[in-house]
Amino acid sequence: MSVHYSDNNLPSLTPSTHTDRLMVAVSTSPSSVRLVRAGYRMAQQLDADFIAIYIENPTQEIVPVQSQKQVNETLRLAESLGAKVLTITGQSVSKTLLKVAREHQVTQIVIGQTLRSRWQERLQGSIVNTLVRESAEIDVYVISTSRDDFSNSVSLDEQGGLSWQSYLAGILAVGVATLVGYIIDSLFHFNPTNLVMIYLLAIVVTSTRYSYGVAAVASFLSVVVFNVAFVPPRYTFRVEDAEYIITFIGLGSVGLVTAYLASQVRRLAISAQNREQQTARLYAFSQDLAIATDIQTITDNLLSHTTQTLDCELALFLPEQNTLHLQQTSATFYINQREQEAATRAYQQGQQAGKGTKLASDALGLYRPMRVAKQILGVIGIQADAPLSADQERLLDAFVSQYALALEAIQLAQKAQKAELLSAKEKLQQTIISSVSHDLRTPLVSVKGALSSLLQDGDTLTDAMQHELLSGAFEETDRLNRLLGNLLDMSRLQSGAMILKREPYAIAEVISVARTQLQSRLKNHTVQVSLAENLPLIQIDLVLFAQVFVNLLDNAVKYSPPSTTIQIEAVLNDGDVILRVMDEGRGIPEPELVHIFDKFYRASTANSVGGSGLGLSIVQGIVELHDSSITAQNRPDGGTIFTITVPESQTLVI
Amino acid sequence: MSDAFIEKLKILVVDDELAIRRYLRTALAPHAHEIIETDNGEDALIQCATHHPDLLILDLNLPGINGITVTQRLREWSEVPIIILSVQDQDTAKIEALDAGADDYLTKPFSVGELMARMRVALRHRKNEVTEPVFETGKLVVNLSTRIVTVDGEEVQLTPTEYDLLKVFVKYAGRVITHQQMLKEVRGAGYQTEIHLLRVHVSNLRQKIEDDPTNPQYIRTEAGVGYRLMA
Repeated sequence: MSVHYSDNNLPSLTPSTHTDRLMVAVSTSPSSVRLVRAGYRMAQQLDADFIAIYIENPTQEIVPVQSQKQVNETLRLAESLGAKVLTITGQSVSKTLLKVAREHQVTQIVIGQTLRSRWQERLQGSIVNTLVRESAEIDVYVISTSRDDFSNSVSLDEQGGLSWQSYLAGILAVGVATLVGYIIDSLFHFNPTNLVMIYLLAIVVTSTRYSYGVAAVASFLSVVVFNVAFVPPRYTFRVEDAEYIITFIGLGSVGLVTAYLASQVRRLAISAQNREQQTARLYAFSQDLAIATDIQTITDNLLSHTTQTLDCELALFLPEQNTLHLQQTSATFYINQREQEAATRAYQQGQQAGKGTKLASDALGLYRPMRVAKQILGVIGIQADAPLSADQERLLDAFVSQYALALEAIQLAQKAQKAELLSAKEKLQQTIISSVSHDLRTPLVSVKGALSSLLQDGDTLTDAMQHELLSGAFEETDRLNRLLGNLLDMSRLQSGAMILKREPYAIAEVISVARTQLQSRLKNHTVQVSLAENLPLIQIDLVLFAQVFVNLLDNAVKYSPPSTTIQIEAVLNDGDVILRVMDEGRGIPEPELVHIFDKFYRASTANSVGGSGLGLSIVQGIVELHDSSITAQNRPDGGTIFTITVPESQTLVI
Repeated sequence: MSDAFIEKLKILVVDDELAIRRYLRTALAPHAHEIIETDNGEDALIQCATHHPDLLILDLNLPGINGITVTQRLREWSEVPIIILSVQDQDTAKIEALDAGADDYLTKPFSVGELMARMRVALRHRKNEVTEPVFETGKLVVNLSTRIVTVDGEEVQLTPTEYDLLKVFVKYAGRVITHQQMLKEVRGAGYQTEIHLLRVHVSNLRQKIEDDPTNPQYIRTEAGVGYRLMA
């Protein structure tokens, strides 16, 4: 154990293998601020974790609001300096301090030394002395603070809740005790000393229900009434037998002590109850936060929970590209330019601003920067008719710090999501590039191959072989041309650069254009067209809508065996024109049906067939441009059906 | 590929792409007496004036004045057949050039076969202004003197409008005909219409002369441009 007095004797900075933890004990004194700063400097030098602790004594006379505010202020400062802040309830400051210190494996404690008169110390015992005596392995640093800081004495006025009813109840209790005493006395004629027990019972009952003062009054009254009513000579204040003086002193002092103990128990209970309530509220709030995934929801939660529990209005400001924006306010938070400015100053200077502070004090609200570690996440604005009580302040602080943590978590998650999105986009681009370059290269391979073999070995190849090579290359150039057309259409569809020249056309004409374009592709398949009577004209861009059929027919040729039939059908359904293209191919695996219109998506069964995965997505793009829709189904006996629905609004009856 | 119309021709090729000029030079060599090449519109006009080619193959996209302007300037004094070379998505420019007097068009990439077919039709129209009284293609026979139309030997009853349309198709047989040209031709017969009514009439005409109107053998739709009667 080592004790270092005064703050110019800082510990030598020997590197330690374990992490140092430094704990500053904060009191209601304003000089605790100095203590926190000194502790912070020491923690920095030691590279130690920094803890600030306030021991709340529930048995203490009620702490003035002023002092509570001071404590909150000090703890907030500590938090902003990166300290872990603890508020612990305990009977003995020194014992609680040491207990917490051991729990948190604290290596150094910093505490302020109050300068008190010697007799006060004798009487009350110095916290510092006890601490030093019992600290064992923990170093204790004592920093002197001036006495003036402790001039806050508790005045009785602040001991609220002492109404005349409770005193009346105390008097009544003594009255009842006297009545019972009379009955017993008249029945049994006991020694009056025994009746003292009845008065004690009354005092105990009173003290458990009412304040210490009431119990004290009841004790005093008991002595007087006992004397007058029972002690001979009865009904006078005189006392004949001197031994009754002992009884009086006994009754009075036992009453007072009982009252004191009972009131302490009650205070502890009330304090525990308050804590429990606050914990429950915080717990409800943190549960709500846990399931929320966006800033809006957690902000709603903060505002609703806070305004439910505390009588104040809140506003939340969050920075966006270094300027502070109002995110949300509770119902009646008053906001104008001045309030906004106060919030901005709080954000920029990293300290409180607004009403009752040095910054922008003309504002109506109080604005506090909201921190996580050393980063300011935003500003919270508080407007209340009456200043918040110490407990309320503490609860608000707890709410806000929970919120700040949730906010930070969400912001981090959003960042991660953005990064993921970016990588997904990159992946798509890669897919496009690899798909396109593959599809462009494949036909080029056969063209180049055919041409090179003709160039090199043209003389030795038979006419049939030459023809074979050339016609293969020739077909591949068509494929290349179709692919380029698709790519062009795709990019125009995506950029929204498609300008539709919509005019009324007969469905037969659309189909005829597509069939003409695909004549050579369709030569191994039978195309069967059945058109209902009285079909209306459809309002379409002929070139584009023909492309729909070109791609669907091309698809059907690709995925169905030669000499099967491709059916095209057009029927009228309640004014809408239903167009169907059906093949007898292998169909599309059910789970993949929803994906086949996706860009670059190719059914798992399509690997053996060349294709870019663009055709159907272009089909869908064009169909949707025409305010129509397309779906794909499998036929029960094999093959695929593509169904286009052109709504009645896009038709024209001649 | 011997062809009475194409042999011994003087052809002017106007394209700014060397690779395409090279391809055309090689493909046309067996059929041409002389091939003149140029890579811009201004020079094309000068070459036409100095060399009087029999046929012009003209790219739409040219540095300086484009193919449409070249066609318009040329048509002020020359009736030389013009075949336009275009790429996909140039429907508007194609129609403009055709309406300005170009004979036909080809979309890149095209095969030599397609090019020869276009050239043949264009040259035939220039050299043989007098139409035969009987037009025949496949199973379709149109007798312009008796106004009788038969398909596979069976007579087809046409309304006067349908017959007028068919007559215009026959006049332009093998060549593309734009909607505007079509309207201009039939208006002379006191026929006023909108394009979509024209399409309805063409559709009806197809019903009567085609085996399968969704796969027409005679009247093809050139999407975005007009029609072509196959010949």
